[in-house]
Amino acid sequence: MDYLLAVQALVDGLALGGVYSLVSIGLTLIYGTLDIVNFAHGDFMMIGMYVAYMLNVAVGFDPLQSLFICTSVLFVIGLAVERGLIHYILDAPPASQIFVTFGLLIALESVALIIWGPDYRVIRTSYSLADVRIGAISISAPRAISFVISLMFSGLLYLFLAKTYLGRAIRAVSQHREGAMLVGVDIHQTYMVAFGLGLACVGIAGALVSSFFYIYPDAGLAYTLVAFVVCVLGGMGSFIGALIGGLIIGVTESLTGFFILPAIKELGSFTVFILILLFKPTGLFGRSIRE
Amino acid sequence: MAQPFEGDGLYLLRSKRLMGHIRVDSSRPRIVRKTYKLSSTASDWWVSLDKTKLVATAIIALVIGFGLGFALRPIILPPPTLIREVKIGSLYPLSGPSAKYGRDARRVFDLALEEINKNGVKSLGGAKITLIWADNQGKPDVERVEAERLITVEKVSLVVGSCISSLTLVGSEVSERYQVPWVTGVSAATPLTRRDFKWFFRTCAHDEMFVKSIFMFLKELQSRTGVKLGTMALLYDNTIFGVSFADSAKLWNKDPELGGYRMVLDIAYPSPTVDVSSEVLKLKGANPDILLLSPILPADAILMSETFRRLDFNCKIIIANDAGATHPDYFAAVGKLADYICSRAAWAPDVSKPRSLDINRRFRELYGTNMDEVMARYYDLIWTVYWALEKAGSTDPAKIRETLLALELSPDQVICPWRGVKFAPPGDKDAGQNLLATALITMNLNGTFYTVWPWDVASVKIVFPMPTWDQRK
Amino acid sequence: MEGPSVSRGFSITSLPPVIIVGLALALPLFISDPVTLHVLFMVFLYAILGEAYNIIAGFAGQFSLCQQAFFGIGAYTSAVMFSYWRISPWIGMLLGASFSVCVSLVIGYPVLRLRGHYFVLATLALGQMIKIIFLNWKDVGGAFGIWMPVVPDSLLYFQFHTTKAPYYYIVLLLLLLTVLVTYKIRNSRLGLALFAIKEDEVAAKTTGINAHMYKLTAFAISAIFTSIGGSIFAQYVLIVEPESVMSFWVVDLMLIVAVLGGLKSVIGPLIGSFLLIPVSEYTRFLLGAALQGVHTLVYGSILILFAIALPHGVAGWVVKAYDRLLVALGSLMASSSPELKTG
Repeated sequence: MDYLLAVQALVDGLALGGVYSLVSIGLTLIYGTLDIVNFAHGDFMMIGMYVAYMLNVAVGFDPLQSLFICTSVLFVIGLAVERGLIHYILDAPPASQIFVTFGLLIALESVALIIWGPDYRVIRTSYSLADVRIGAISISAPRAISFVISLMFSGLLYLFLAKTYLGRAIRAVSQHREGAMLVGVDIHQTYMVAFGLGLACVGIAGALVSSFFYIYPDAGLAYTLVAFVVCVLGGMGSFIGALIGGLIIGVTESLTGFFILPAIKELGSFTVFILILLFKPTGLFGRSIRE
Repeated sequence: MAQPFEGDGLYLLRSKRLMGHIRVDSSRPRIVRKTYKLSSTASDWWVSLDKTKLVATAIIALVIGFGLGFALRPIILPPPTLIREVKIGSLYPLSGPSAKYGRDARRVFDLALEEINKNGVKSLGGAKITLIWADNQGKPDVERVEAERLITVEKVSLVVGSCISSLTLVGSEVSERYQVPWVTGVSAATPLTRRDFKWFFRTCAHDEMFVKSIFMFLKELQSRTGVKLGTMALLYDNTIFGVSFADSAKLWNKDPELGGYRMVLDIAYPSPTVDVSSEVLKLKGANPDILLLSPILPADAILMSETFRRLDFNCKIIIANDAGATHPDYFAAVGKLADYICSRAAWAPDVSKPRSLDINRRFRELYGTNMDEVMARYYDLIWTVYWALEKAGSTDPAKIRETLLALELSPDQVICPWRGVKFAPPGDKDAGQNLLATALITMNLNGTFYTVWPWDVASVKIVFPMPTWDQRK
Repeated sequence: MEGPSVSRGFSITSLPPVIIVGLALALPLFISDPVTLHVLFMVFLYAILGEAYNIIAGFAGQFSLCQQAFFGIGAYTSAVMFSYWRISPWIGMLLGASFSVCVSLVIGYPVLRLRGHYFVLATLALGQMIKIIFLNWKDVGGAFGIWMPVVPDSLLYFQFHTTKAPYYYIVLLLLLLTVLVTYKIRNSRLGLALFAIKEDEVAAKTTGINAHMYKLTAFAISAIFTSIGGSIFAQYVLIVEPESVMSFWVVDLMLIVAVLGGLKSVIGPLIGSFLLIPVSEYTRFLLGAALQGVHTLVYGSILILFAIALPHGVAGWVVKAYDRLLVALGSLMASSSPELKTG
């Protein structure tokens, strides 16, 4: 086995993992705070991708330039969805919550299909085909940029959660809801912001991914499944967990594909996931189940 | 009345598994006892079950049910109405991951019917062809019921569909049973015409025919240019589309005349996919002369071209299974990266038949891009159906089938570069297959694709071996 | 007044369900159009799957998302047995159920130790993994799957082409069996233990219940019926491919049917299936030919509405309504009974 090819596989895996991390951070934020499992998560990312696409077609914006708009649009959508829909099922049994998000999944895909049709769309930018070379190893430029930006964004998010009032409120609610209420945190406002923030993360992911991946109504589902695996792997509700988990899954997939068989690369990452869960049932950085 | 006995009353009894009560009433001749169990096992339940009552109840239920059934048996079928139209069922994926193909079919059919329905089917007094659309959602159980609905409820005379070979399989089983003709224009999996069906027809070539063209082309290419090719690799999507292609390739590779390449890699990739780096790295390691590629989605093709360049993968020739590799979205996305990739195709925009150029132009006016070869096959499909109806002069499925069996279309009546249309008779190995369908080999260049084989209809000279990425800078 | 008593036989109160079953049995006599029979077939099939799902999710509270693996194993086993060796699909069905039980025990043993959302997602990953295995397993067809040979109508080989009625009856009878078994489980020690585990696993364990063993049992029983459903489906469609029998949407629909019906009740999934399947089929019949995506949008919106309006499922209301009906019937009979008229 050519040593260099293996290293290339590793690097590609990290790049892939960066994308997965970004998608998962939003999911883990939503789960940690609102305690709902959102199967429609990937579909919101798909909306982010379409927003970036429309901006690209209408005003020629690069996905990087549309980052801010995508995030804001999805933040607002998040606030609306939380207030209009999620709000009513927060106290429903978990089965019902899953049920609602399934319905949402189907509905969002249908809306995208109706509005934008079944064509596969791509955004081409000046750097779409460029790559970054380090010695004999090359990384595709859009992915490298996404990786860097997702790290930056994670850093920003971390600062927000640590330093601002809303951020601390969100952390308080995710740790202990009643306790947070006791100290005067407005639960409903916090939920809205947390959900909006979660979708904002996914909006960024969508904008970044759209620079190197196709845009299609069904594009979200595959990412949703991976995001779930990553979140649980890292520990639901843990931010660092989502980051590291994404990288682990990306690298495992890439290496499995390289050393074993590309067709079963997902098998490799899922196996690692199951094994980790068996030895650490609450994920790598997770807390134990809340009472 | 006798004096109440002082022992009269209700006595409760309880043991570990039973509880009960006894009513003692001296005015009555017998002591009333009732017991019931607290917990029971399955065998208790069975033993305690009053089987006579069970059977009796079951019989009563059946009698009531069937009695009501027979009594209320109202079967009201709407009387058949005479309509001045021919109904053709059209069953394609209109939602789900393959929704695009259904949409493309609709566009092309509408374009063709615009012309056909100007005069309608003359032998039926100008009756218009009406398409009854149904969505199979990409699932076999849906395909089956929609086929049944089209045939039994909508009462179509013929069905066209369903793009994805496994769905065409299911749908045509239904039509075979109901004895309604089914014609597919696009499903290329070879086994579809190996079932010895009497009501199934396919206008386009199947995978074995397509792949044979590829091998013939490779052989002739080597003798023409003197460049030898020894090793071959397969990279294909892990769906029926790609697997059928790969299986046909491996079959023809065993052929003593056309085959014989050393297979250095045979990998299926999961489609749709986010990343093909591991696949391309393996290709680099295997270093084949020939790569047979099947990217079913333009997205996959885009990823592949980009990764080929990024990881500097080069080989002497790449031949694709069409689909993603000649799709307008692919060209739009990768531009010159697509150059020199060859593909098997049923049609190309440069086919010099005037009708072909004309229709492609009209399509471009309406939708802004060239047709692709799948759409061309849809076009010929619907026209074939029209000519069959014209010749049959009837909407009776049996008559239409007879006509299809006898149908002979000349090359001018199709826009694909076939020798015409003639379906293999029942009893033939490939019953229902259009034996006159052929394939082209095309090459991508400057954002579109051109015919390079057969040599006499090539519009562009093939660039072989493919220049490496360094050479292309 | 007479003391408490439980009727041991079949009294007037058992009559309504019996009538319904009787009507269901007689239905194919006066409906023979294949489209309606298909919808009913799918309703009953998903009722079976929903009941099976209810056992592990409703009774035991473990929301497994890998049930499609058992559905697929059942479908593949009967398909492979028939296509390669001409073994009757009935035997294939039993064999498939055995395989499913084995697989469920093997994956259940470690995974059922996980709690809550972790279990859900572990099963999600497992379901996907099993699908990937089948997708790449050339001996059972890989991506092609199994395209089953078509044979003339035969009960032994479980294929009927002239009419759908035999499929209808088979799935109806299996549904009755499933309902009966679910009912027995609910009223048995196993059911009681599962409910306790669902409420509070730790508390249940302190009363001496071996939670792990009971969960495994429920998981295995659920796998059996899901697998049987898969075998029936395979024989109905005559093609088995990973994308259609092992896709996430199978378990998704099972979950929705069970939740909509009502998780703790026995007839819940039946009602859920009756509500949901016709909605999805008829929206497609009516709107499928329209603009792409419209019928799925309608379906998705209806799902959301159902989920919000009925978070605890429909069965609760149905049971209450039914009880009221019985009371009305009972008082009707009582008021016409001569002995009670005196003093």
